[in-house]
Amino acid sequence: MEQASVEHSHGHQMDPYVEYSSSKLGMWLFLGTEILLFGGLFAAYAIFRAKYPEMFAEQHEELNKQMGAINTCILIFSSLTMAMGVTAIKRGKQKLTAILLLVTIICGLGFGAVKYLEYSAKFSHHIYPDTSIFFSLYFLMTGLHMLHVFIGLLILATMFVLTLKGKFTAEYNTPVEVGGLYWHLVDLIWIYLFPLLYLIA
Amino acid sequence: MILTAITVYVSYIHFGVFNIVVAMGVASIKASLVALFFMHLKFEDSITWVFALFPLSLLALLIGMTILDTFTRVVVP
Amino acid sequence: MANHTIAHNVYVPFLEKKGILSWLLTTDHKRIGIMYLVSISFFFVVAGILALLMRLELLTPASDIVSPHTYNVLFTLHGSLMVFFFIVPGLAASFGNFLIPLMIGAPDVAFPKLNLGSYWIYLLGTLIMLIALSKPADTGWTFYTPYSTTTDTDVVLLTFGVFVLGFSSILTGMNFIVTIHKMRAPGMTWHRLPLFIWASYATSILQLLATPVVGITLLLLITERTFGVGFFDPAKGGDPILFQNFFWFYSHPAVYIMIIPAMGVISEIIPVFARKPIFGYKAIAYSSLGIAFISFLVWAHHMFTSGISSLAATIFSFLTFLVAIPTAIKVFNWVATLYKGSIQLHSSMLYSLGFIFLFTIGGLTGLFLGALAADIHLHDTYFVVAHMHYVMIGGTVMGFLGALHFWYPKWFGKMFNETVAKIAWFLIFIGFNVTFFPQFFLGVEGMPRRYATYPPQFESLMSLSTYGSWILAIGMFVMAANLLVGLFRGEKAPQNPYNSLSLEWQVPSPPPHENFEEIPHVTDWTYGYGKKKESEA
Repeated sequence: MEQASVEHSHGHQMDPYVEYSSSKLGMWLFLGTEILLFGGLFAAYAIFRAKYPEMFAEQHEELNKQMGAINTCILIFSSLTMAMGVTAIKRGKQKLTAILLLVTIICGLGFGAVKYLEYSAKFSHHIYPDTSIFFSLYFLMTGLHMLHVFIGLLILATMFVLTLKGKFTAEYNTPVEVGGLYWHLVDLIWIYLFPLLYLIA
Repeated sequence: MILTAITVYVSYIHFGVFNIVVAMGVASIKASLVALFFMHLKFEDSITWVFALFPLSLLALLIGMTILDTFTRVVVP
Repeated sequence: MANHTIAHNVYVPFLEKKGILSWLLTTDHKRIGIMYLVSISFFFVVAGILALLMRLELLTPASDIVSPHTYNVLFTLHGSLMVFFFIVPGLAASFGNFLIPLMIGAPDVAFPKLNLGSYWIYLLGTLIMLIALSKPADTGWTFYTPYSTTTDTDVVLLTFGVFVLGFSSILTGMNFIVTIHKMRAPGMTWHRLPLFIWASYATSILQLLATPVVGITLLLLITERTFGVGFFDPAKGGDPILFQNFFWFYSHPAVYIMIIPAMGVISEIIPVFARKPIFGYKAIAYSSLGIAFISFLVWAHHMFTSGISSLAATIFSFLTFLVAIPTAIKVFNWVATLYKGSIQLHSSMLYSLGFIFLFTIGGLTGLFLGALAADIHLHDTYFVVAHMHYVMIGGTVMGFLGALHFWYPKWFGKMFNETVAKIAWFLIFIGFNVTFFPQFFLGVEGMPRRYATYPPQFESLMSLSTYGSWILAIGMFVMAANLLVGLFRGEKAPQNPYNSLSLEWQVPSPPPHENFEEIPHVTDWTYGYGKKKESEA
């Protein structure tokens, strides 16, 4: 017996709902890989912190907690505006979405600016990635994170331009939602980076 | 909104003695809220949940076993 | 929506459109599969030639053909090219791409453009690696610290090329998982899926989740070399074993990425040529997932002699034995399928039978290595070299060649010379065993791996192994020549030459671009062989 009997079907365009749920699943899978990528760094952190608790306690005082806290607030706020942006486009409000995306981007740029100030301060104090294991971890973890912020900003900028061009509607807004998921991941990682690097005693 | 408030509150506590467990706990609450509500994980199907959570368990495995190895080695003087 | 005036789609085989751009810019999963096939075959040949050179050097105890440094470069490149450029993309990227949509009744994968992107990323990784050849690394494909952080060769570019390749792997894995979840034809429930799909699914999970860890590991290696970061440097407070822990967290699942698709292939070929339903479908299906899951738990069995703690070693040894269970389940089920079957010894069946026999040897010898006490003696000897080649050549390559011979008519629309194929198989089988079986004994007697020179008492077995490599090479050449000649001079292939029941054989050979004129509605599993047909199809 054959495995299948042929039946009329819906042609070769992907069903919009299938495409939407596929894209979301795909992005969640990709976010899983990002967790494991950073995970290696978190593992290194755990090991070295357990090995050298005094180094960590002493050297983390060099980090500027205020700037770290500001950055945390900026990022969480940007996550909020991003989520609001997705809700807005699902209601067909293109202009509102564009504004919210712009705010999110500005927040991201603000985060970058604060980081730039932090790094310059470190370098002017002759603190570099190879100064010690703690600072290697600091620069690598925040550096890799910053790289992801840049990528996120590129994605958001693309979404912003496309929204202005009217490409997204209440029916079709998958890229905005999926791009938003990526931005939320950037926030999630920082939520863990901040206490681990700045706040431990 | 709530999250921002939590963050500010946390950043004031850092002047005291701050246990890493509590810090991680607060971070995890914040992260869960972001994931569940901002990322709509609360409304996703079960397969998405599996793929969102399974990497975390793998991470726990990596960290756990590597720490186990590193700290149960017998250092020959 | 289906058109009411059905103008019959003119059958345009997917191979029809010519021109290099139509290939490089294609989003057709079948063409992408072919591009991967060509690329990985190319690296297989190159890395194979490097191996032949190594074996030539090892014909005599002295280092007379190449210097020891060059020998180190040879085995580094042989390993890196074989692992990262041939076998990890391997069956998954080539046959996975070609078969998955066809087998599940879909017109393409979930993200066709991303699929093409994955291939371009693979090419980019290749390019970076080629640049690294100006001062090729001599660290071994495992890049262990501290040598890899201090050697004067170009480790950075080679590892960066591998890092880029990792993205290709991750994106392909993601694509396949979403495809299998979301794009199955109506009626294609999980328990009607062909076993190759179950295998591909398990492999994709490994590709997706294990690869990022080697990504960060290589990144850390690169920063250590370029920025002087000291995670792996004891002088700076680091730990060289940390590199090994991170590296093998990926590389152990990686070896299952290598073998699980091949197992899937065997599960497809055997029922067709035994004319019997596969025995224990659910067991085989779930054992793929079981192997994938357990593979994450065993990585430190590559590190038993590196200085890890005894506690960790004991735990990992125990977990390592567990992975034998789902693997054995597969072997028993395949053999049970053969039992009382009507066996036809097509060349692809020969490769499958060869797989079962040789992979079993490889797998059993893995148990020796998993036992702590034995491993102390056997680690880093030729016993390991023999074990890994039995599972990788006797396993994966046998599966790869079996797949190539099985789906050749479907993929290329031609038939190859079956007699020559059988002769080639025989040469490969003999050559492979003559090359690698003596290496078990060499290992037990203490011959270490990765050495260009050796004491004279090993010469007889070493030279026997080299002669075997020549037979293997001839067999490979005959096999390849046969398949290539068939492309140009073979007879046109019928739609279903082996009377297989799965979906890919119900479309023309080669398939049209959109796969199915109409998406099929699935009513049964793929393995209903040996039943009386109600009407001829």
